[in-house]
Amino acid sequence: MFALSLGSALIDGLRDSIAVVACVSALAGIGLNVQFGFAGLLNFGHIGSALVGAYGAAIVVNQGGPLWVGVIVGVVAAGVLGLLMGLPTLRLRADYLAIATISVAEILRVLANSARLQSVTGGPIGISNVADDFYSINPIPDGRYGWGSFSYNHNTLWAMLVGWSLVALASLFVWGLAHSPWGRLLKAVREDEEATRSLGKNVFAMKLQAFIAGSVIGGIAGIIFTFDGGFVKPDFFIAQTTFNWYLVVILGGAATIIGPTVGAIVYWFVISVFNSLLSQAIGRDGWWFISSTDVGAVRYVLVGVSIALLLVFRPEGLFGNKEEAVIGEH
Amino acid sequence: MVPFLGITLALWVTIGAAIFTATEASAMRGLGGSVSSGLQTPSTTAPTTTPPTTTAATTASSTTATEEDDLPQIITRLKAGTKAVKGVALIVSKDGEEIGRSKTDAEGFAAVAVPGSGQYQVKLDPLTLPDGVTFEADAPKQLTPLVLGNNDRPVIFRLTTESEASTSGPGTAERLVGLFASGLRFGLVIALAAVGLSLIFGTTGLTNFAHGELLTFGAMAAWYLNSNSGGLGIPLLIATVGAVILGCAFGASYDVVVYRPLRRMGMPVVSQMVVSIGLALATRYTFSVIFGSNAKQFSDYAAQSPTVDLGIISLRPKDLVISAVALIALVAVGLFLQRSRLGTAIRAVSDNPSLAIASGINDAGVIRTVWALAGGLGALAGVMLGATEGVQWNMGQHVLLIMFAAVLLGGLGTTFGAMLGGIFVGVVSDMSTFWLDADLKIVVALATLVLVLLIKPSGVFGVRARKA
Repeated sequence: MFALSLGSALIDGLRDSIAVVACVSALAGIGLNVQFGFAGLLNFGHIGSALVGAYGAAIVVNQGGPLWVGVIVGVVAAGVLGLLMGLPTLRLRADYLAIATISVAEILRVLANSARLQSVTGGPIGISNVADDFYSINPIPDGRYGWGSFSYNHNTLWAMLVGWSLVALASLFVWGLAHSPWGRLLKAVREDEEATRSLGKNVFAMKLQAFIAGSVIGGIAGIIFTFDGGFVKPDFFIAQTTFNWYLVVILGGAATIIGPTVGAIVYWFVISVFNSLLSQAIGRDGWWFISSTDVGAVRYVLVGVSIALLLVFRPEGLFGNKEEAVIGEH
Repeated sequence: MVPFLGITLALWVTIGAAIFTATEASAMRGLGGSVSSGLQTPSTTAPTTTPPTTTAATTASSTTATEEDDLPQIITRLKAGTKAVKGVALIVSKDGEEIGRSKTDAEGFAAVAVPGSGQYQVKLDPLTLPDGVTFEADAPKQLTPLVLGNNDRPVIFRLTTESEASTSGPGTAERLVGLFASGLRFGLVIALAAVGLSLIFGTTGLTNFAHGELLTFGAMAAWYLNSNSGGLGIPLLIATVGAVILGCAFGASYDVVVYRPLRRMGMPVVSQMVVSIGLALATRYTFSVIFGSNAKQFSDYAAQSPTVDLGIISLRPKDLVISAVALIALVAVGLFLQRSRLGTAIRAVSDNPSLAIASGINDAGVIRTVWALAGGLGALAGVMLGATEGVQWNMGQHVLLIMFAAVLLGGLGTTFGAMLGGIFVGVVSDMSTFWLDADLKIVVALATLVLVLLIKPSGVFGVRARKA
């Protein structure tokens, strides 16, 4: 019925699976995995950490501050958010924690969007031109690199290089954490909080530390996202994005080191191939009741169905351990 | 069992779609939808009855942008009281530079094509306003709509005839009372929906993140039944009854197709909650594909009808109707739960499931009933929300967290707590706009929610959960 080009769809998929968007998802997923996978904390407001990181960096750079100060402010802001959000909420049970965290993230988004704070946050329009300093320290000489469809200019390559290096560093960091006594204790907290407490361990402090660590990594993801695009806008930080990251983590395998990264790569590959095929199929004229502007929406349908089906059929994802993947009530 | 579950789960999304696609062939191309897709010429859809609004929109557009059908337009429909306002110039500019203007026709319609996405400034030429027609006292005279992609952007100017304006010169006290009244209306609607959410939690332990979609479903079902331009043209009150019945079926289908199989699988409730998020995403974006991304109005009550003076405050009739119906429905639910056998059974299952089953109560049937009830109440709330704020694919998601706030404020699982919580959240968040910007209303509601969770997670009326 349609002249579909599988080849071009696959190339789209491969391009996106190594692009900066994928490493942002991977980073955010790694952060979420520390909280959700290792510590069993259902944080539905992870996008708030990315928002605070992104806005922290963008505001500093926009006000004329140097790049490194912006990055530090972004990271610290995400850490402080983790502390402030975690301190009162981590004593709550799973569903209350989820509702409280998603509410905090929504409050942050609405505030960033508010006309009252427009002089600082830019209101609905956001802040643009924040990446100039980031690209001015690009050591890669001007030009195009790569072959055919996988050819990138020096700036894109620089953003990808930084992004994926951070993914590697963050994975290494989490690997270190998970194999330390701290990491084993964290898993113990997740599996049986009461038992761990009865052994004299400070369960609350463990949860809080994990929550802050995850929030900081989420903040870094927000910073990379900002520098890649060159601007921030409140619309980027809608609650749905948190659930994309949940899919990334569950798909790769919660409580694994490599899981979120593989999950992000697979996620973006599948989404892009799907988008590409769908766009080709419906063309400009629409197909049945789907118009060309609906491709983005159909993608979220896919995300939603995937989350539900994964939890039913393969909660451990690609690499996870079935025993560890049960959410709540072990 | 598992393959069955997989297939039904995948099909579940299409169930919601199927109900609409039955009526959607002509309905798809409503006022906003037709041009938002920008793909079909009106003739291909050939609706059986040419909707008056669409005709007006297309004639208006043909005078301004005959050659460029793909361009998005800023459209408006001017009314003062119940009368369309004719011959007023709509001026659209960007960054201070005028892009185009167009005069409203006999229906009050005007449309100006704009070059693409972006923020525009829209105003009315005050010289062309007919004598005796003015802006409402607190209405903005210039609007700054954001146009996205090829989607048409409707704008609303709140006009009034002078005789009305003179009666509503709001002082501080009047404004506060007015905000209280609108907050009460919103709170009653939230309370309706929150009762369902609370009952589901009470009987199954599930925190249903897909509850907002029950509201959206009801509003959309009513729109397809009611709208003159794309629907069946049934009067709204009858359409509401239809929407509530469909909503009951939709709510019950959540249970039959998804949650009952999951419970039998032994999935922990927290995992079920994450599944509900997946379902919410899938359902919501399916709605967006079917319904289009623009807000649409019901055909009844769309007009700015004259206000009813109640001494201290004056209300629009639809606000009165909404508040009254919501109040009656809440009382009816309360009586049902307290007095009827089924209601008693529901309370028994909430209180102690094991004991209830041991006493011979059919818990599966009770849970099914609760889901149907929640679906019906959600649909009713959705219609009411749609009547005041327009029907949109994500309207339910917008109030989901406010519903959580209502339920948690009263104490999760307590029905009367949820009612009072809803009313409280509605009133507090609406009244906060007296001091704060209107867009920070949601912040007030969410901050209330967070505070309650921090101070007394069991809610004001709740008992401390046996299990932390």
